[in-house]
This record gives sequence, structure tokens and C-alpha cells, in this order.
Amino acid sequence: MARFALRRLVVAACQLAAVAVTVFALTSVLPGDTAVVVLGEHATDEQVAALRERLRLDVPPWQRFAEWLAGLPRGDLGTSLLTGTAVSDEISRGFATTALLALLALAVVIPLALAIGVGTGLRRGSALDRGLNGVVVMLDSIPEFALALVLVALFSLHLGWLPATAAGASGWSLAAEPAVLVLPVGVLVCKQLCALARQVRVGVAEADSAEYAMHVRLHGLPERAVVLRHVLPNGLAPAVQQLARAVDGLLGGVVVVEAVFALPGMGSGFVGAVMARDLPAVQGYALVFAITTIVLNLLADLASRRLVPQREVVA
Amino acid sequence: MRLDRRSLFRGALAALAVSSASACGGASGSGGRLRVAFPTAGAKETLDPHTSSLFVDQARAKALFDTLVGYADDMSVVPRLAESWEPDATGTRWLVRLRQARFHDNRPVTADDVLYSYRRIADPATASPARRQFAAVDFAASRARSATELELVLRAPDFEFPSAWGAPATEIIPAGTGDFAAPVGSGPFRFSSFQPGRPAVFARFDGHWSGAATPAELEFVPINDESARVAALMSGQVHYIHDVSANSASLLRGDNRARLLAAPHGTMQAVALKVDRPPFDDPRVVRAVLSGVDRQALLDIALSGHGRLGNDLFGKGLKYYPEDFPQRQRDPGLARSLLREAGADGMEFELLTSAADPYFEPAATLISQQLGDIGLRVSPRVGPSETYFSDIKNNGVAAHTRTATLPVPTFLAQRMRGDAGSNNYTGYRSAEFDALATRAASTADEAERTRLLADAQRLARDSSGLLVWGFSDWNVAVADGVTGVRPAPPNSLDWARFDRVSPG
Amino acid sequence: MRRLSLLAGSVLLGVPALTALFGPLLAGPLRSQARPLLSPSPGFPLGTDVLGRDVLALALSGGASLVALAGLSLALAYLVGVPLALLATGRGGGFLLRFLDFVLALPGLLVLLVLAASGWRGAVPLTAAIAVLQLPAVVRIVRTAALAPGCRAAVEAMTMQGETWWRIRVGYLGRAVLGPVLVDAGTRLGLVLYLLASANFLGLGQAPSASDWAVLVERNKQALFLQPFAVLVPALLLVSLCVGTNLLVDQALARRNGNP
Repeated sequence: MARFALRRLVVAACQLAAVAVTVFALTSVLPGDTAVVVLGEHATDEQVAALRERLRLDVPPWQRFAEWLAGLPRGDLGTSLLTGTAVSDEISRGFATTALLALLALAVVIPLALAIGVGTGLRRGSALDRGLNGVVVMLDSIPEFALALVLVALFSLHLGWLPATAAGASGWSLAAEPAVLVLPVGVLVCKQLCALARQVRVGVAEADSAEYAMHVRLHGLPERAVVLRHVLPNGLAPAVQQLARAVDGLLGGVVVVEAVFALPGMGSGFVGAVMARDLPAVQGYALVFAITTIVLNLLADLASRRLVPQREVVA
Repeated sequence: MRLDRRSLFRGALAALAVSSASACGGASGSGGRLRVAFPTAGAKETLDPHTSSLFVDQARAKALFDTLVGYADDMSVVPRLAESWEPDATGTRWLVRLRQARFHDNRPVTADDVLYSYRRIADPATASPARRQFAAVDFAASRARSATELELVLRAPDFEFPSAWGAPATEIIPAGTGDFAAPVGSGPFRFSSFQPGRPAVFARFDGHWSGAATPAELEFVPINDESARVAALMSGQVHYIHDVSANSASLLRGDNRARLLAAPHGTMQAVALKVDRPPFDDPRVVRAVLSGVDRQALLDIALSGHGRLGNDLFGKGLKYYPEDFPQRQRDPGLARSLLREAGADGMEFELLTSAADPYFEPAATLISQQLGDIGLRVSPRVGPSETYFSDIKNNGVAAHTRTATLPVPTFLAQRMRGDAGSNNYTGYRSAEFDALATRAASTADEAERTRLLADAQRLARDSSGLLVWGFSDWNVAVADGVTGVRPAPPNSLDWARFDRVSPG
Repeated sequence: MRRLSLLAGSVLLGVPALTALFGPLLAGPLRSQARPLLSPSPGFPLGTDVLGRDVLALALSGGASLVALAGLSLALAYLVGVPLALLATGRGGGFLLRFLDFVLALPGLLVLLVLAASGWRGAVPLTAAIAVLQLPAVVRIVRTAALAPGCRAAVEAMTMQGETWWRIRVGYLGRAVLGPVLVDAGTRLGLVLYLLASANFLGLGQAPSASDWAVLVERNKQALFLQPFAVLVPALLLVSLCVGTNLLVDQALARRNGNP
């Protein structure tokens, strides 16, 4: 296990390097630069030239990339071209908002998806199964903004129970105003529930009807034990991968929810950075996203290994 | 959002709704604090007034600082820090008298502060959007005659020079200021707190020359998404929202929780046809397109009727706009025959557009449809919104563009003259136009100046390649009960002005 | 019960599918011809959208391209993804997975923007790009399903019985992972539909004036409360498409698994 983890760590470093280089290259080929974005629609050529010089955009890209790399060991992600503040500060602020939303959403989604998935998987074909599946798929396929706007219209504007937007609050301080988070978390839950619950359901259903489950049942094992010891471990493996994707999606920022509820998180931060061609910030965000993705995949693989102890099929 | 109060839930839940509205941390409980919501996306968030380029920057600058003059709704100048001014007979030497005003640290506002500010704006290193307005100032010859008397010397005559003193990003800062982390100005509000990307909080400055402001505190809340701003206003989280789309405007008109304030002639909506390259270097093709577009349909559909008809000229409703030119009408017959004459039947071109302005894409779809009727094949092409306005400077042959209100002579000088560089989106070069504009600037008599400017605009209307199809209303909205806000076009004195606003 | 849900699934999928297939034949003109956001009237039974176009005509004509694009993207993702995943269960699969993790870690927005900026704006590159962006997640889920102990025991037994690699991989494993694959595809459908609409706003895929359902929903966003039909009609067609597809997937799987 330790060797496996160590090997994956080395590979992860290579993956991060590849992501950094690729993101840098992709951002560099986008037309326009920060100077023209910052100066807006009626900037004169000399204004743009002056700002380019001040932002050091006239320095060759590979040199800026090298400088950025050099800062990494010190945990220095560079300075945002757009705001002039440290990229790490900017990201950590957005991350607080995003992490809070993600944690709350997961705290609801995981138990709910398990309950729905296992319940419907074991009672497949029942009215409960059909009904719940229809509902979770429907919630997922409703356009996110429409779901959000309707919830705001109903619970904030009409009933007045919950605030419509965060209106200036952000980061961990949001935890002090839990009412602000109810609607955004609700929307996120609706969007994440479907894939997870359905993956649990199909896993459980397949495992439950597989030959070995029949086999242990024939041996007279109590149903409870069959489900807990044999059906769930077998059935949950694909769902674990789906969970990794869900967490990844939530931590990568949820652009629509952040916009509708005026919650400045990782999603809007990253989109803003890309649109402004703010290379240091784009690099910083991409790096954080990549680390999240790779760590989650590692965790998902480790979890799968626990469910499925041997590593490879003999073939 | 249009949920009527008369609904089913009302009776049963009214009490609950009232009790929870105050629990939401709404604006109602914040006493003398006025909360205003602005979009801030893409802003280089700084409180340096001289580099401000977005509306939110300008609104914050207006709260913290003052300018020498302000713009009335028609973009004529009205005195602010400058009490009076007069040019010499040549229009190159201007004497300005300042009123008694103080900065937030109690220092008086002096002629030296004004000179320092204008020098800083004119310095290329500042990269100020207002730099061009002060490019002709001879700072070596300009001087402070006394603490309150200032002499500004120009290298070329300009009887419209006072317009420069009211332009965005021309605020007066104390001499020597270089750091804007906690800026000192002479505006109606003092700096309290601000971090880029977060709310900015300012407090009333009791020593303001026009008297203390009404609200004790002013908070700028960043809300980028338009629907979120509308929801925040309707649920009582903020008192004022800036920039409301035509569709939300229709919604707000039917809601008693908010009041829509629409300033007509807010933004010019136009298509720039590049006359310095084919196919629009042929004036017949330009005229064909100008006569092929149905401006009324564009106004009705793309602007949902919330605007005014365009007549291929900037500045409708502003000073020096020639109201007496006949309205350009759609004439498909003329358009087709012009195209045939030019051998451009069935010609194809790309019309650049983007989400940078909510009206661009609907207009592009309509225009391509309308020009299809006269035999042109126009394909709209969506470009990235953040870099759109720089992308269209040199690329393509036709692009949607817009301009908020500014004085007509400023527009003509900065966007249509041959020496306007890449801000002349259509690539219009006309010695005759330039000569008329120069003569107008050096003419002291206002009636004569008006006539010359009208001549210049007549020329530009037919040949500059600027297809102005309409003017979109400039919409803001306030919560019910908020007083002291009136609809005003962007860049005018009363636009985003909060010193006389009562949260109600 | 089973009949009923089969019926429900068929109807839910059938309405959008038939609309997509035959709607274009029945649709009226798509041009802007009236004031925007008109409420339903005899002339416009579902009112008009933000561009003053007939919502009914748009809804009738907006399915074909969307269903084709989304279907092609998904088909491509699974046609490449499932074999890759099965390959990745064997030796050397680790490298493939690490490479796909790298693809997964690339921000999709950046990829689409570069695509838009580099002139690859048509439907073909977009379909390919969306398929590639889905690929890593597809491979991971399919591979994990193929490695489930139940599968493995059978594979080992088959290997010992001397079955060919081909029969084990495709014949047995391919069928065994069908469940997770179908469920994943069903839920991924919604994702891809809205991804296509977002791409449209970046200038990719179809023209901005396209009548594509997902594009219509996005474009009429602001009109949700002003002219709900302009948003709800295309949105309901999309929801119906997704729910119907997923119900039928369940139905197909139930036939395989049998009821407990």
C-alpha cells in the first residue's frame, strides 16, 4: 500500500507539471491580453502599451513561466495581473466560499444518494424506485439557472424566508450566515444527487442479482449480511468514482450557482481569470484544480482497492 | 420574480415573511447605510480614480473625489470644484477659479492639487483613459496663480476644453498622492474600508463643500450577475442596483417593491463598418447597408422598445446633436440597386458580435436577417466578450459597438478624427471632417461652433461607416421608498451620485 | 407496474424524439417577425422569444441538431471510452489512467475557448472536444465496474477454462459493465446537452441564432418570469428527453437483472 501510494505521488507530480505547462500554453494562445481587458473599450494604443510594460507583458512568455515555476517551491503563486494581489490570497478567499458550499452539499448528497440508491436498487421495479428515479433525473435535467431562479423567487422574493443573494458576504464568514447558504446548497444537491444515486442504484442492483449473491443467499446467510457484506462492497465501487467526480465538480467551483447567488468562489474566480487573461491567476487556479482532481482520483482508487483488494485482473 | 402579492400564500404567511425579512440582514435594518450593487467583473479593482475604466470604479471615485466640473444630462458642463472659468480670445489660455473646498484630511483643495492631478493623468505611465483630453496641455506654461486661481495653457485652441475637466477619470487628488490603499479625496464620502473584489464601505464626510451627504454610510456591494442584482433589490438586500437589462426593466415595472429609473439616450448602439478595407471602402456598399437596415424593428425587438431610434450619428439628445437631420429610413429598393451598381450582389461578410453588451447578439441576428432581404449574406460571429472591444479594432469588416454618453465634440475628436488611431473603429479618414472639427474647436462663438459641428456630423453620417441603429435606455433601479435618485445618463453628474440619496 | 413505467418512459422519450425527428417538417418560419416575449396568442400559440421568433416553431425545429450533436458526442465518448477502460483493466492500464487523469485535470473552459479562438468552430470539432472531455470520467467508471469482485471471479474462472482474451474482454466484461455504462450515459446526457449550449455562448458549434433547445433555454434566461413559455417549453422537452432516456435505461437493466 505504501509503495503504491508513493509511486502515485511521483506520478502525480508529473501530472501536475504537465497540467501547468499545458494550461500555460493554452492561455498563451488565447487572443488578447490583460492590458486590453483592464483598459476596456476605448483604450488608446499608447495606454495599452504603457500598461503592458507595467504588467511586464512584454517579457517573453517562457521567461514569465520560468519565474512562476521558480516561485512555486516557496508557495508563491505569483501576483494577479488584474488585482495586483497575491494569487494565493485570491484563491484561498474563493476557496473558502467554495469549500463551504461543497462540504454542506456533500453532507446532504452522500447520505441521501446512498439511501435512495440502496433503497431503489434493492427494490428495483417498485413504484418507489420508478418515482424516486424519475424525480432525481428530473431535478438534474432542469436547467440549473431556472432551478435557482425559481427557488429564489419562491423562498426569497415571495415568502421572504431566505436571503436572495449573499450580497457582499464571502469566505468563511458565510458560516455565520447559514441562511444565505440554504438555497445555493439546495440547488447543488439537486444537481449532484442524480448521477450518484443512480450509480449506487445500478451497482447495488447488479451485485444483488449477481450469481455470487444468489450463492451466499442459498447458503442461508441472513439478508442483512448479504447486503452489507456482499452486495454493497461490490456495488459501490463505480459509485465511489462518481463521488470523486462530484466532489471534484463541487470544489472546481459551480459557476451558475456562484453567479445567481453572488457567491464569489473558485468557479467565478477562474472564469474571471481566464477571461482577463490573468496568466498567473489562471495558472494558480488550474494547479489547485489539478491537485484536487488528482488527489480525489487517488483516494477513489485507494477506496476501490479496499473494496477490491487485488490490483489487476490476471489476464 | 413577478409573483403578485395577492397570491394564495399571502394571508397565511404575511406575518412570517415580515418577521424573517428583517432576520435576513436586509438593508432595512442597517440604519443610515446605503447599499448599492454594481457589477465588478473584470475590474482591476483599485481606488485610483485616474485609472478607473469601469462604471463601478467611476461610481466609487465619484463618492470619494470631486471633479472641476460635472456633466449635465446633455453633457454640457456645470461647475463643481471650479466656481468659474474663462478662456482668452484665442482659446489657448484658460483661467479657472476654485471654490473653497477641503480634502478629507482638512487640507484645502488648491490650484497645485489640480495641476498635480492633471499632470498625473497626462503622464503616459499612469495609463489613464482621460489622457487624450489633456494631451494638448502645456504643463510647463500652466501655473497656479494663487491657491484658488489656476491658469491652464493649451498648445492648440480648444473652446470646448472645459469638457475635459468633467470627463471620467479626471478627479482631483491631493498633490503628491501615489498610493490609493486608503485614499484621501474631497468627495462627499470618506474612505472606510475596501479590498479588491469585496464590498467597499465609505463614511459621510461632514466637511464637503456642498454640505454633508444624506446617508451616514455608503456600501458598494459587488454583484456581477444581473438576475442576482434584481433579486437582491427586490428582497431588500440592497437599495440601488446599477445596470438593469431591458427584460428585467419590464419585470421591475410591474413590481411595487422597486422603482425603475430609465435614462433615455443612455448608450449608442451601432455597427462599425470598416471603410478602410473592402467591401466597405466602396461608399455604395456602405450606403446600401445603411438603407437596408430596419432601425425601427431593431428598436422594437432587440431593445424591446426601451430606447430611441438611431440616425447614424452619436449623441442623440446631447448638446451639439443635430436634431434637424431627416431620419434614415429603410429602403430595400435603393439598397439593392446600390449593391447591383457596386457589383456586390449576394456578397458575404461576417458581423462580429459578443455578449459584451446584452443587445449585440439579438441585433446581430436581426441585422443579418434584414440584410438577407436585400441579398447580402451576413453571418454573425460571436467573439469573447472580455477582449471584444480590442479585438474589433483591427479585425474583421463589420462589428457591433456601443458608446455611453459623452460630450459630442469629445466623441468626434476621439472616435472619428483621422488621428484618433485605433479608437476610430470604422477607420474613417477624411481631411474635410478633420478640418471642420479643428475649426469648430478654435471658434469662440457658440452658434458658429454649433454650425461647424453640424457640418462635420453631416459629412460623417454619410461616409464614416458608423451605422447607429439606436440608443438603449440606461437603467438603474431603487427599492421602494428610496428617494433622491433620478434617472441620469452614464458619465453625467447625477449618474451614480449618492450624496443626496435617502435609504427611506 | 413494469408496463406502466415502460409506457411512461416511452412517452417521455417519444415526445422529444418525435419532435426532433418530424418537428422541422411542421415548423413555421424561424425569423424574427413580432415583438419579443409576446404572451401566447392565436398567431403564436406559445408566444415569442427574446428575438421575436415563434416559440412553437423554434421548439419544433430545435431538437434535431441538439439530439444529433449530444448523441454523437456521447456515442463517441463511449465507443472510445469502453474499450479503453477494458484495456485499462489489464497490465499497462495504469499509464493510460494517469494520462486520462491529466486530461481530467485540464479546465474544460480553457479547452473550449482555445478551440473557439483557433478557428475550429464547427460542429465536428465541438463534438470531438466534448467527447474527449467526457472520456476520462467514462473510463474511470467503466474500469471500476469491470474490476468489481463479482466480475473478477468470473474472469478468473473463464481464464482458467482457457477462454480467449477477446471473449473474456468483450463477450463477458463488455456485457457485465453494461449497467454502469448505460446509467452513466443516461445521467451524462443532461450534462452534455447543457455543455453544448454553453459552448454556443463561447462562439462554438451552431450559430448563435440557432433554435437548438438548450441554446433557447440559455438565450431566453432573462425571460423566465416574463414569458415563461420561451424557457419552459424547450426546458421541458430537455427534461422529458433525459427522464425518458433514464427510465428506459432502468427498464432495459431490469430485464437483465430480474426483480428481487
